[in-house]
Amino acid sequence: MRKTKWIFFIYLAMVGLFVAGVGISLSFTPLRDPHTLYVEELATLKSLDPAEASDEPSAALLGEVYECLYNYEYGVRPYALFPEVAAAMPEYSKDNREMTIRLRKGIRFYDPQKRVWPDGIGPEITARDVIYTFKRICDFNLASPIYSAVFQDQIVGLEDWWNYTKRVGPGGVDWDRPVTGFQIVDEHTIRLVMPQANPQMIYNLAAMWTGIVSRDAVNYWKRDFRLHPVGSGAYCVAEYLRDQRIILEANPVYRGRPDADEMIPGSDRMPHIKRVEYDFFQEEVPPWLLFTQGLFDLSGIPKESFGQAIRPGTGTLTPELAKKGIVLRKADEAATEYIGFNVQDPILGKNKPLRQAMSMAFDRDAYVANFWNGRGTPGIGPIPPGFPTYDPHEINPYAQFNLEAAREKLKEAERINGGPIPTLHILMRDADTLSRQMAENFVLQMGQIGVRVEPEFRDFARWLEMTDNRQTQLFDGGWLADYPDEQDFLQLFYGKNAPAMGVNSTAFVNREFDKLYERAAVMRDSPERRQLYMRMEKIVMDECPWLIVAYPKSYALHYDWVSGGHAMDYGYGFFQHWDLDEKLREKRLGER
Amino acid sequence: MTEIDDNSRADAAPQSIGRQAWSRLVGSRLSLTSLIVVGCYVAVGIVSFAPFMEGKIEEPISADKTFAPPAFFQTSPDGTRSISPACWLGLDFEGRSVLWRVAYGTRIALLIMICTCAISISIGAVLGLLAGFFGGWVDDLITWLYSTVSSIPWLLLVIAMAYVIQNLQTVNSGSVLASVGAKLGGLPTVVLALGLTDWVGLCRLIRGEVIKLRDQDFVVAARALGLGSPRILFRHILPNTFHIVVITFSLSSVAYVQAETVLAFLGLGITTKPSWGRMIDDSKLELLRGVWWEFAAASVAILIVSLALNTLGDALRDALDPKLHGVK
Amino acid sequence: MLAYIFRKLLLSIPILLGIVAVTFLLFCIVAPDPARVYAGKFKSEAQLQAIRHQLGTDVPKWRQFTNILTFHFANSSRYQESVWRLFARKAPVSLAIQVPAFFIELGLQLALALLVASKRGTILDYGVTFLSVVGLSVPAISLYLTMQWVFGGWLQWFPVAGWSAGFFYALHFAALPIIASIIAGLGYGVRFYRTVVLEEINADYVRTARAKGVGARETLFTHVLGNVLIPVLTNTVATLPLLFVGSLLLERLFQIPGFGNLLVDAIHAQDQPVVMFIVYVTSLLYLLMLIVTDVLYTLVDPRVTLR
Repeated sequence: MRKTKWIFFIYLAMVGLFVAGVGISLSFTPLRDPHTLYVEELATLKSLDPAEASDEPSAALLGEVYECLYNYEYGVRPYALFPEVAAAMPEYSKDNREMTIRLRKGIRFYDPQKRVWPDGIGPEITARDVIYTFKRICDFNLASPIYSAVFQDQIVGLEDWWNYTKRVGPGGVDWDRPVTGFQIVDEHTIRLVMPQANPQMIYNLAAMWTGIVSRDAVNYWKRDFRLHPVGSGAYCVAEYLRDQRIILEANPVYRGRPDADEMIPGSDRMPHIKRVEYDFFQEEVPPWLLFTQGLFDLSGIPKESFGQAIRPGTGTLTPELAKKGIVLRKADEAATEYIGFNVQDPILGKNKPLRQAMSMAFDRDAYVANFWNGRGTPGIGPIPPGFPTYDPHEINPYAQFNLEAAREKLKEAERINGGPIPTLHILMRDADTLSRQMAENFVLQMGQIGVRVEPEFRDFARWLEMTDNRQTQLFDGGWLADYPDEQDFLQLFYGKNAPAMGVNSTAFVNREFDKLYERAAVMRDSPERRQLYMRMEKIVMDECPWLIVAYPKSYALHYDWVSGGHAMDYGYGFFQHWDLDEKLREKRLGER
Repeated sequence: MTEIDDNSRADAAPQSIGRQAWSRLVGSRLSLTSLIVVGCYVAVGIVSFAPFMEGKIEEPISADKTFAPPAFFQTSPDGTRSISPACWLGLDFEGRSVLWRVAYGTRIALLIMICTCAISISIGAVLGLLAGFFGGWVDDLITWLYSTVSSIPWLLLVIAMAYVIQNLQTVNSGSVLASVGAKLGGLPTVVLALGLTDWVGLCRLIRGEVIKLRDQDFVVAARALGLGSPRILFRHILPNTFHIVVITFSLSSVAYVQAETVLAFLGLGITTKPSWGRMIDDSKLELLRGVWWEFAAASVAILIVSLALNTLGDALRDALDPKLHGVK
Repeated sequence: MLAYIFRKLLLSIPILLGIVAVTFLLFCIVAPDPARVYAGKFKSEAQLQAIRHQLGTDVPKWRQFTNILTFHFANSSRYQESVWRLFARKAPVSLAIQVPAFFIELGLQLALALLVASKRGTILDYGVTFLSVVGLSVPAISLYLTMQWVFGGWLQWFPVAGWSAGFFYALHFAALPIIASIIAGLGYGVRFYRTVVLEEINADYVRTARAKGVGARETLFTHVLGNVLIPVLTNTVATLPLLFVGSLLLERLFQIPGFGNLLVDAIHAQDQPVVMFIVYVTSLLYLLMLIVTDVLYTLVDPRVTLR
């Protein structure tokens, strides 16, 4: 009937339109702005609220927008703190329990959306803002994931405040209610009071967790504050398309980095690059392809593409990439990858020779060469390069690949065990290809001394739960340093951190270690403290709660038309130091 | 005409139907080919149980020849060329032979097919029989159960099941599942997750068939003779549903093998040994570099066996139950 | 009719409860604590307590269950956003791929089915049928990856993966997934509808019409097509709610930030509100669609009565 024919034709017309649309879209290329730096990010951002940004990618991005009291000097080794929003390094009281910090004047917040303040320019940062930021992290109703890392049990009177906020609920908090440990001395001075000396507290004040936020902005945006950052840093967020893209633009009222250009009137205010565009991806290969086509200016190297990028055995760029103008930047990461032994396990716990034997049966050099493409340093002790006590020539006998010695140790182990060692289980953090290969490799290596291992694969959430509850025998793990103090690693072996949920995931407890740890905990950096640290490290190397695998290296690529970048393990606010040679980029891309 | 009469004599039915079906199967060229193909796969799978295969799938042909494309010959270091079947499908990222690994994958696929079918068919058949035969509240309950299960998006259900089963395999929980699971590298997870969730189709079909059968003469006669329900159920009704089981076996196997590829992609598949799904997942990133042989080998292996089983399933359907399928 | 609908609705309630109960059991009871995942590497009991309070998991389990039933979903733990907002953001992306794919696929399937059924026994019939069976034997993941490689990596007509805002940009990224989805589903549909059409073609009324002199094409389009509508409805209407979720596999591979992709992430990250939301809402819609299908039967074929 005619009706059917009409339906048919309408249908065809719609399909035709669709195909035409596809055809047109083929010619659409995304617009590119010559002044923008294009960056790809392999992540999903958790939140743009510093108090919630416990994950790396969010913290790194926020670092461009927010500032903290302190920061690390860019490109400087050994790492050195300098005062960013603070005016000077803190003044400690005699017993080191109090830190008095003076603030700089004239630093203002900026809101690119111009919603919080009429012209977007906020008031000057004062002591009230800083203390507000700290109190906010300790608000029960915010449930900040960094509270326990930064302030819990470290500031006097905090438990009171925590219980208070819990009691009154989200709407009823009076932010001016005093907390003993967070004191406003005057408009530009604050004081922190701690129950005991804590030399690592200053590092918390240099981490994006304590990025200074504006009370006005939080009050205006309420729950949406995590989508609309308002900071005082070099950039501000011009646009945020969730899960897709963020656009940063230079902050017009930024006063310039204190360590670089001391507010010289009329000078070229940093940042030099006025606009940065971040695109988010979840798989590695698509952004890599786009990078090789010149559509991104920086990139990491996905494992699968490693052979395409780096010449085997040399650690240098392949001619194919070098000819495009790509530059390689290598750096040691302040991180250690390890395989943990659950010391509470009946078989592994009482059997030190077993752990030592397994550690000696693992060929770290081969592992780094085969699985990391040489992107790492074979491990020695728990503390990675970049720390004062790290000595590349140090010998850890139990981290040396030595099958004979391993077999000897195993005999001892079997004696202690009262028989051959039963099959052990190792828990992997992920079930992806790399984890499977690593697990297979480990099984093979342990098999060489006659220890049978079976891998179990989980995802990160379940791995966390099982290691938290000490439900594993062996597990693969890694620890990335949060600040340049060896204590960040040594805390992983401290007895009081051993029960479930503490960071001591091997449940390692050693009286001598604990005594040394507690002594060092209240000391500032000194040769004496370094001695203590080295003794503690020796205990860990000997007792072997970790099979130290290796220290990763970061390989970053960028085109030669960007410059000024340095690899930094800590610190924030990096893009303001970079330079973009726009003409060179135009020319190169035009040639393709 | 004769077939239909034969069908109503319960004891004689299975054999003559079976024989007739068989002759139908081998009569058609298409179904015969499918049968032979499936037979070949089974043969390769059985051979893969031999111990020598464990070595073949692990040893690299040459450590530096990773990602080698398919080649007929292999040149050894001293320059002599020899025909090397291990290289015919190329080498993977660790220099291991894709040919042997795909062959081993057959073994895993067979295990998955058989074990999963065993579970899902058992559940589906038993529940279908009970529901169809007893009716009443038993039927209502079972209908509710399968309606519920079939209304949850299947993939979601499978993933959830897989996670639960994985959690049950935690080492320290000391369960049998733990030691078995670890040894078999994730096989119980896949098998249980798929088997426990995919029984609904069979259940419905068998229930329908049983409802039709229970009012037939031979059942009424059996009751009149005083035979108890279980006996009627298992000795008289069940055999008449075998054709559904066989067809479902063939067609579901395809679904399970393909489901395994999805599970592997999501990280819930077989972990320690090369299954086809895992090979596809491992090779997906290499594809964009132009390394296609591992991916192609595993995909084609699945394609051919699916094709064969689908064709076989159709042929079985035609052979065993011509009345259901009015048109060819 | 109203009585029928009412009865069906009533009967659907225990099923719905069953669905939510089963999913709740699998995801919220026998599962790791989402607060831990949210907390990350540093935790303390106090902090976990606060997080649980925020996530809404510190109420007793049965309360959580009833909250779900009354549509009081907690915020997504991963995105810290209301699940409704997440849905509003991501569902259109999934729909942008599924809706065109659905329509084009259905049209193609019916057209091909009609074509080969009317030319039964010819080379065309055998060819298309064979291709259909091949189509449904190919593992979906292989098909998608191959298309990504051929059209994205090698020919470079389309981007390999990803998404963009803006109509034409989105179309550019959506084209390949849509085409891949169509190809993946074609085989099954063509075969199924071919069987259905063949059954109709051999029916008496068709032969009568032909005997009366009605043309082949006309019988096909007017008589047969009409009767094919019922199986089409059965097959398609109930799957409409799933369009919001999209194909999990497709979205994952092509990096489409749609609802299906969200679901997979949610399962991995223990984001219970999102999972429960999807299951509850899609099951509800599915059951409703089943009833709608029944009603549509009566409209399509007046002979069908609902008891």
